[in-house]
Amino acid sequence: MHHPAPDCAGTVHVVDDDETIRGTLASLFRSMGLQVRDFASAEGFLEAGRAAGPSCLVLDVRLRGESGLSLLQSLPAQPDGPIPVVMMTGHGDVSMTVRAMKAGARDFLEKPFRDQDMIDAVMDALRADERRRAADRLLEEQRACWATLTPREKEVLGHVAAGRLNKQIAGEIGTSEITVKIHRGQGMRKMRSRSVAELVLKMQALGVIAPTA
Amino acid sequence: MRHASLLPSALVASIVHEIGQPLSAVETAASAAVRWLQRPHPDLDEALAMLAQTALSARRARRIIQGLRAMARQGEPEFSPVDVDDALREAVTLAGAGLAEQGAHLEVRASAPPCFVHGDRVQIQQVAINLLTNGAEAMGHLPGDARRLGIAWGASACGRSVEVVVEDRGTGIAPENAAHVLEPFFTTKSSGMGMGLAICRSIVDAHGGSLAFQPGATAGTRVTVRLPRLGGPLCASGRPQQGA
Repeated sequence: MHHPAPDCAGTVHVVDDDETIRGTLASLFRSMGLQVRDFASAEGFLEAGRAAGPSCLVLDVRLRGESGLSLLQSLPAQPDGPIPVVMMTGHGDVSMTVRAMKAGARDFLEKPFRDQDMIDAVMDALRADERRRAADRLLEEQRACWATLTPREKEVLGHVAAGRLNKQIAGEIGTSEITVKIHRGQGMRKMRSRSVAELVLKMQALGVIAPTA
Repeated sequence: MRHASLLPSALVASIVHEIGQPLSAVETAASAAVRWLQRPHPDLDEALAMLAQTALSARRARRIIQGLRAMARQGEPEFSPVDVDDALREAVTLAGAGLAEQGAHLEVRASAPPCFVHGDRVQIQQVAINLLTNGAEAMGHLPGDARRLGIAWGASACGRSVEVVVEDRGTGIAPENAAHVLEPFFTTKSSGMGMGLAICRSIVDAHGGSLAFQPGATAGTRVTVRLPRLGGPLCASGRPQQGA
């Protein structure tokens, strides 16, 4: 085997109005064990929406109807999160490349492209989408944990994250040090944090405290 | 030497695009075929489909090369005074057999006063033949007696240019294609190379003329070619009037 088997599964959405390009790319990706959905127009893709699970979009810059570039620019508004995009162009003008990268394309390939470059770009995009999805899941879990905290526990953890000692916190909120200790222990357990550093990172990710400057 | 002017950048972009598409498909399809065959259980049907695509795309690239050759053969025009009436009557005769084969009925209207242009006789004839052939092809779906094609020529109203009008009753030009009909390799025909109108345009440009498309009177397309008239009352190009 010249090419290693893909180390991650997923769906490749192919949007190109050239039937031959679309068909050959679809076959290439299927031969790698990936799922493929192909569309002749940007509208077709938007209507169908993206597949469940990790996925990416291989998109031609110039399409009849809505252009590939304007599709790319409208993508961040999609409800199911940003999909990594590999742009293709047959024209390869520099200004188009710059605009596509600014609009969030992950990769930009000029036709004719090397098949290995396309494969690398798609695998990289699928891995990036998988990482983003994992990060999203983690954040969702942490949000659920945060929601189980009582207002008092949240208040105490805010002080803990700010680096205050139990004694200082007790003075601040007008309670005994032992009570602070209990709230603190409960909060740390509910947030599944074994250290203050871990807690601070999670609270920053949740946006309940400001990120460290 | 002006190498830069040999190939206009728009044409280079078209060539890059038109050859890039099938070449991409060739490489992708060949790679896919190899992968289907290298699987633990090779999928012959998938591999064969991709090999067929490889051949098709290579053929598409070859047609583009042929189109470029046709354009290169055109060469530099050789200018001399051309009797438009005489040249176009000959062009109509030359196109006649092909048009009859396509079942098109040709109606010729020529104005009485002789018109001359400073141009390349063969290239002007080529423009007329290309336009007539296009017109006939646009009517292929019509019943035999509806395939009516017209060509007319004569001095323009102001007398400064010579107009050649070719009108068909065919499908017409879809609005979304109007901006592209003169681009090299643009075609809506399954067998076309998309070079006909691009060649017409480059010839008309070289003659200092213009090419315009309008919807026909009843249906179809009306193409008007305007060339500066030689010996007209006011020569628009300011070229000294030459005897015919």
